[in-house]
Amino acid sequence: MTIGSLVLVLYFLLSAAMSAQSVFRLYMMLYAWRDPDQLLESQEPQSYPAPQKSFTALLPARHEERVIQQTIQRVYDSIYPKDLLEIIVICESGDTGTIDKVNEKIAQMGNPANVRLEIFEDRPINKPHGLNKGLAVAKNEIVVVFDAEDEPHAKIFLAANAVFSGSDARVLQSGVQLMDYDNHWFSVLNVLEYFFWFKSSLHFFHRLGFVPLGGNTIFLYREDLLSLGGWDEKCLTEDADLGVKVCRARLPLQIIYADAMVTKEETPTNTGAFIRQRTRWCQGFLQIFLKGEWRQLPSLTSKLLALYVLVFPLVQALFMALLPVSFFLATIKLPVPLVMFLYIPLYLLFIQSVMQVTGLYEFTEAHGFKIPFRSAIVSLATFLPYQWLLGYAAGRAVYREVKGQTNWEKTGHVGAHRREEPKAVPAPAMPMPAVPAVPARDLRLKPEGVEDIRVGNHEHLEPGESLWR
Amino acid sequence: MALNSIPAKKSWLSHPIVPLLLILAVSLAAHAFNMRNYPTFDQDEGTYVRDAWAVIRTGNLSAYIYIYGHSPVGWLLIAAWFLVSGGFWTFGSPLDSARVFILLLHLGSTALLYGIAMRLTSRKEVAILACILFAVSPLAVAYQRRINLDNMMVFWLLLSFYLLLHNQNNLGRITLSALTLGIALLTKETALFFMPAFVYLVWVTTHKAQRRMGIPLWITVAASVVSTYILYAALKGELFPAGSLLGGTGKHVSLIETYMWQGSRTGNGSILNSDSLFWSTANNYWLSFDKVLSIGGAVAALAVIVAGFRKKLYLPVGLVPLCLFLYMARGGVVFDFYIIPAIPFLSLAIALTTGMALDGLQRLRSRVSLAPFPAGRYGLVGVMIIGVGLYYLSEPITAEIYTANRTAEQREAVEWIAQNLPTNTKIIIDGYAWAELHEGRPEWGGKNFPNTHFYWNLSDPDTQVRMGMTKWQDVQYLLVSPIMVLDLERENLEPTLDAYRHSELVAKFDEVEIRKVLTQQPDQPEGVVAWGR
Repeated sequence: MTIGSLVLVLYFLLSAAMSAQSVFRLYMMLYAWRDPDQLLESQEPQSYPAPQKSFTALLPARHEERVIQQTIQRVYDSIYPKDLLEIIVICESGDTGTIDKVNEKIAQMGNPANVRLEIFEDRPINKPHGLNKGLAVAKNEIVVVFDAEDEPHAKIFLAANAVFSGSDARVLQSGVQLMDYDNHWFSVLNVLEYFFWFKSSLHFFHRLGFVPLGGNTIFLYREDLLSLGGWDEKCLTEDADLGVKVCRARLPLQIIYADAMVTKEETPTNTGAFIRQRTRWCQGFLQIFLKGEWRQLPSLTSKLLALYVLVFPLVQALFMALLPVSFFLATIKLPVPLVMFLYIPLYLLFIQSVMQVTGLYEFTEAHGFKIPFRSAIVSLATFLPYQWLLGYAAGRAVYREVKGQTNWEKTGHVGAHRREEPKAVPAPAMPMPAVPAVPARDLRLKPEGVEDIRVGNHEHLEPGESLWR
Repeated sequence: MALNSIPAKKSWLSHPIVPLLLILAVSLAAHAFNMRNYPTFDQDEGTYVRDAWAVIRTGNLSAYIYIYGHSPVGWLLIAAWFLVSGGFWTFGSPLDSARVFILLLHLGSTALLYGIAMRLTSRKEVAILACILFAVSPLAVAYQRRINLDNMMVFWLLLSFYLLLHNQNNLGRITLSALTLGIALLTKETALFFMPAFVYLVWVTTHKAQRRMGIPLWITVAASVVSTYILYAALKGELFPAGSLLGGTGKHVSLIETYMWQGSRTGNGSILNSDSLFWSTANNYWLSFDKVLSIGGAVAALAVIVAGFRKKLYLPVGLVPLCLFLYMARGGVVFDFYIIPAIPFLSLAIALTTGMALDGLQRLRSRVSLAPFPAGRYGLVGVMIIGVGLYYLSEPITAEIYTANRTAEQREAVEWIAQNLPTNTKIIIDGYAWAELHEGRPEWGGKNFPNTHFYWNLSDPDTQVRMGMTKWQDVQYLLVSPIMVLDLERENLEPTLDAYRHSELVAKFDEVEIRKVLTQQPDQPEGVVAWGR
C-alpha cells in the first residue's frame, strides 16, 4: 500500500467520523423538539407557588462600571419578597471604578439591607475567586450566580422557587440567551449557538448524565456548594468544572429554558473579543479534561459525553480545517461513490445550517423581533467562516495551554442587549480588551409584560401547579 | 411494529399481529402462486435485472451507457438482493430471483398498509379489508409481481407514510420518514406527484410547537437524499447538456437533458378527450382487471377526501390517488403500470369508507334502538370480502393469473440459443433474455453470450460502434417478441430492423421467435422476406 492510498484511507475514516459527529450534533441541536412535551416546558408558567426558598444572588463584577448599576437594580426589582433575597456584588479592591458605581447605586437605593458589596484584595483576580468570596459571606439557602451584564428575568426567583420547592432538585440551570443577533457578522450564529445549547443540548446532556453548567443563572444550595469546595479558582471555565463536580456528586439537576425567562446577554463586542472568549472556553474545557475529574462521573455514558464535550471544540476545529480537503479530493480522479461518501459531512452541515435558520425564526418569534430575513442570509453566508473562527480559537487555546498561559482574557460588555443607551465611559486601561462604545440598539419590540405586576406584591400570584418539572 | 396495546384479559387471538400474519399468508399465496409463469417477463423487468447484473459484474450503473433515465436505486437494491440471496440462480433465472425480491417487498408493503390502517382507525376489520383488497385484487397481483420500479417505490412510500403516523410528534420519525421518502423519490421520480399528500401529512402529524422545526427538517432531509442523484451526475460531469455553458464541449449524456426529454413525452390529449391514452389505458387494463378497485376505489378516494375535512388524517389517503389522477389527466404519456402506487391507497380508501359506513349504520341502528349487528362488524366485512372475492373469481383475468403460463416459451427460446448457438454469436434480443444470456446458466457449463444485445440500446450509433454491430450484416441471430417487431417498425430501429427484414425463422416458441440473419445473400425484395407474424 502506498503512502498516498494510506492517507486516503485515513481520510475516509476521518470523514466517517465527521459524519457521525455531525449526526450527533444535529441530534443534540434538535433534541428539545423531538417531542412536544419537552417543548411545553419552554413556555412561561402561568402561576407560581408561594415563595418559600431564600436566595443569595452573587454578582461578580470587574470593570463593569457601565452596566453594573442597571444589573443591581434589575436583580433587586425581581418579583420576590425582599426578605428572601440577598444581593452580593463582588469586586476586587483595585477596581475602584466599579466599586464607586456600586456604592453610588446602593446609596441611591437607600442602602437596602439585602444589597451588599464584598471587596477582596487577595489573588487571583478572577471570577471563581470572586464567587468563592461571595459564597463565604452568603447567608441564604440557595446561591445563584449572575454576570454583571446579565438581564435576569423578573420572575426568575419565582421560577427557581417553584423548582426547588416542588422537586428534589439541588441544582438548577436556567436558560441564558444572547440577544443581539444582528450586531456583528458573527452575532447571528453566536446567538443561535446559545439558543440550541441552552434550549436543547443541555437537556440532552442532562439525560446522559453530564451537564457542563453555564456561567450564570445557575442555582445551587449553599451547603452543596460549600461541600463541593466552591469554584475552582485555577480553572478558566469554573462553571463547566462545577458541572463535573455536580454530576460526579449526583446532585439532582434541573434545566429550564423558557423563551420568556432567559437571562439575556450580549455577544462579544468584536471579533477579537469573540476569539478571546472562545479561546478561554476551549482552554478551560481542556483544563477540565486534563484534570481528569470527569473520569469519576457516574456512568460510562456520562464519561463519554464529558470526553466529547470537553474535547469537542478541538475535534470540530480539526474537522472544519479538513473540509476544503474534501472539495479538493472531489477534483482528483477518485471513483464517484467514494467522492460522494466524502460529501456526506457536507450534506449534514447543510442540514445543520438550514436548521439554524429555522431556529433563528423560532428565536426571533419567541422574543417578538422582526422577521430576520437579512440575518437568515448572514447565518448561511457566515456558517463556514464561523466554524473556522471557532477552529482558530480552539487552536489558540491549545497553544496557550501548552505555553502555560492561563490568565483570563476577559470579555468586555457594553450592554448591547440592553434597552437603554449605556453611558459612554472610556474603556479602562487594563489587561482586558479595549471595548469600543457601541451604541446599543433596542432589540425588544414587544413589552415584556412584567411592568403590570406591582413589584413586591405577591398576593396576586396563585400558589398552584407549576409547569416546571 | 408497535401496535395497539391490548387488555391483559383478552386472548392472544385478539392481538393485532394475528390478523396481520393471516393477511401476509393470504398475500404470499396470492402473489407467489404461479408467479414464475405469469405475467410475461417484460422488457422493463429485463432491463432492471440487466443493470443490476451490470452493477455486480462490471461496477457500472448500466450495461450500456447510463443515460440517467431513472435513478439507479431500484436496481442497486436488486443487485444487493442478488448478493445476499446467493447469486443470480437461487430462485431460477435472474428474473425469477428478482421477482422473489419484489414479492418480499410486497409483503413488507402489505404489513405497512396494515400498520397505516391501524394507525388511522384502530380497527382491525378496516385494516384487514384494506390489506385483503391490496393482496388479492387481480389488478394488484398482475402488476405487483413485476420487477418494476413503481413496486419498489411503493414500499418506500408506504414506509414513509407509516413513519409519519407512527409515534406522532416525534422528530426522529420525521427524519426517518424524510429519508425513506427520499429513497422513494430516487427509486421512481413519479413519487414527486404525491408530495402534496405528504406535506399535508407532515403538517397534521406534527405538534404546533415543533412544526417549524419539523417541516424544514423533513424537506431538507428528503431533498438532500434526492440531491445525491444530481451530485452524482455533477461529479461525473454529466449534469448539464454537452455543448451548454456548464456542460463542456465533449460529447456526453446529461441528467438535465434526459429529464427535459422525459417531460416532453406527450400522450394524446387530456382526459377530457375520451380517446386519450388515459381512457384507453383505463378501459383496456384497469377496468378490465378490477372494477372494485378502479371504480370503487376512485369513489372511495373522493369520500375519504370529503371525510378528510373532519378526520384530518384521512385526507392524504385520498390525496395520493387524486394527485396521480391529476398527473395523468394533464394529457401526457400514460402507461398502464402508472396505477401501481395508487393501488394500496385505493384499497385503503375503500376500507376507510367501509369503516365510516359501518359507523353510520351502527349509529342508525342504535337510534332506532336496534341491537348491534348480529354478526358484528367482522361479519359484515367478512361478507364483503367474500362478495368481492367471488367477483374476482368471475373475472377471466383471475384464471389467467393463477393458471396461465406466459413465460415458458420465453424460457425455451433462451434455452434454444444456449443449446444451438456458439458462445460468441452476435444476437439481438428482446430485453428479458439479457441477464440470463450474458451470465450463462450454471447448467450450460460456463457458456454465455457476451455479444447479445438489446435492440433499443443498439439503436444508438455509439453503442453500435462499441459493440461492433454498425450494420445489419453484423447481426447473426435475433430473438424476437411481438412487441419488439412493433417497436422496430414504429421507431425504425436500425440495424435491427434491417437484420429482421433479412432474416428467416429458425425456431418458434409460441410468440417468441429465433431468427437467423441471412447475411450471405444479396438484398432481397421485401416481399420475399418471411415476416413471421
